Amino acid sequence: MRQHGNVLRPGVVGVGGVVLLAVLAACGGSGSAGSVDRLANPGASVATVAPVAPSSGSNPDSVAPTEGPEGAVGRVVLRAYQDWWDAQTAAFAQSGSDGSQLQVYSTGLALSEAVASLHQLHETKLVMIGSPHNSPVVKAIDLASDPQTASIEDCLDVSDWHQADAATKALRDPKQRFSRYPATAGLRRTNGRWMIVDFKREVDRTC
Amino acid sequence: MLKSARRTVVRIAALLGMIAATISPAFADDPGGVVGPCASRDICIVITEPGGGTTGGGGSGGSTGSGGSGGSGEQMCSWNGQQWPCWDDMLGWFSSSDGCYYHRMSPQPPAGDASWGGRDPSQGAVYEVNCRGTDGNLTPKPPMFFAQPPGGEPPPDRPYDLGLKALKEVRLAAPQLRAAPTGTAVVGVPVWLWYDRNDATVGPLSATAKGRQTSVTVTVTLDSVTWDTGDGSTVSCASAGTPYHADAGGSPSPDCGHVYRTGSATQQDGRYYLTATLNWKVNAQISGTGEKVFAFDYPVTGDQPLPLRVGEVQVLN
Repeated sequence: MRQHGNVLRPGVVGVGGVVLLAVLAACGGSGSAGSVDRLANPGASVATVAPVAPSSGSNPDSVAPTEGPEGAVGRVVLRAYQDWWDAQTAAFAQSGSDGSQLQVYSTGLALSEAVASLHQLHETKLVMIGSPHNSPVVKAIDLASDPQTASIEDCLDVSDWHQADAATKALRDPKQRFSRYPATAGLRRTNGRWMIVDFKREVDRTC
Repeated sequence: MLKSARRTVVRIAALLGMIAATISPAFADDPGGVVGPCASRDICIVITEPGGGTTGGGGSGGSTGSGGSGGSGEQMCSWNGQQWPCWDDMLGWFSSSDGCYYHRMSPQPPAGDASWGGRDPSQGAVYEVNCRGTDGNLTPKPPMFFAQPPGGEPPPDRPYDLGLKALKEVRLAAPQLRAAPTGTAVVGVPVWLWYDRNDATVGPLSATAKGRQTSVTVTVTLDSVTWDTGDGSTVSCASAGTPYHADAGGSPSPDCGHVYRTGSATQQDGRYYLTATLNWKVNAQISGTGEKVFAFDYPVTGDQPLPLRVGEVQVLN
């Protein structure tokens, strides 16, 4: 399930120090300073994604409807997103993978990034072992636009996903690596398929 | 009091800002063991030396790995003192002038998308871009518009490319979903699920693309159909399902159906909304030899879910 522990609404920012103190207290000794960055850059938050249902009011953290036509298609969108991650996990795990499945699920910059990682892994004789863990939520979905579009917010947990030597499978993680960070995916429906068009990582904070 | 609290807050914020600048909270502890380069941008930051210089980077392992053997006499492109294949099945054409790969987007983005830069799709095409740094590392760039192809046609007889060309000839259609009873279904009574059958919705379909000496045949077969019935259930069916006919009465569908346990009265619009995903399998083989070129899953869905009202039965004694 989603973790909302560090999610702050931008409206909170104006309240100033009192809230910051509360946030610091809430973070405790966990070392999670993620909210601080959020406070410093309220514009870079999920609030840029407009709520879809008119009835849901102005809550910027609202998610897309889970019932009705939007809810039904939202579940299709979530499956497409998970399929994309499964395809990446599978492609990055093999030294001989061609990445063709990535072209089915993603396009544009999202595909370019996945292909770059795949090539980089192949060229450095590395594979990825383990798997990432996703907690995706459909933030917005537009069935009336042509093409239909959707956006997903995820808390991507990569702490169980490691670079390893392709032959020996010995761990070869870089010196500094991420553990968990929020990310937003934009999707578009083309030719009967939902494709990931862009994937924005917010690696300067955690979730 | 309040003032000193504020000052403390400012100090803490500044301190945390400094910490955040060096050790980002999204980072994990040092993994220990043998340290490797950053290859996957999902777990680390790929540091790339921007292109353009003349510092010949250390030789990175040769083959680009994509698409397998690639055949003999692969054309190589020279850039920044290193040789790279001029064509890569996943990355596209390599430009010796800027060290970037250009890959024609497939499908092309919709007209009006930002990547067109205000131009009409009739004026050219949009390409995915990946650029090599002087160290050989790849930096993905946002897709770019070109009036003329930056690289031209892919080299002949690339099996991967022929396979994609063949796949473009295969026409798949979004399914027209059906359910019976059509008006109001009833809790506990079988609902039949199906969609209209035609070649483009049940297959199998195939197409062949011919190169100079090589031909690649793509076969597209329907593996299964996944229905999301809107009540939290998914139903997997082997194919399109059987259309309901009156003589079936209240009997269940022979191959694709669902029994609702809860009515839809509390749902939005008082209805469940159903979707079906057609799980196609795509296989590309070299014609004649049958050698595998690629294989992948290819799910297709409709654009509008099917509404279905499900009523609760009132038991009258």
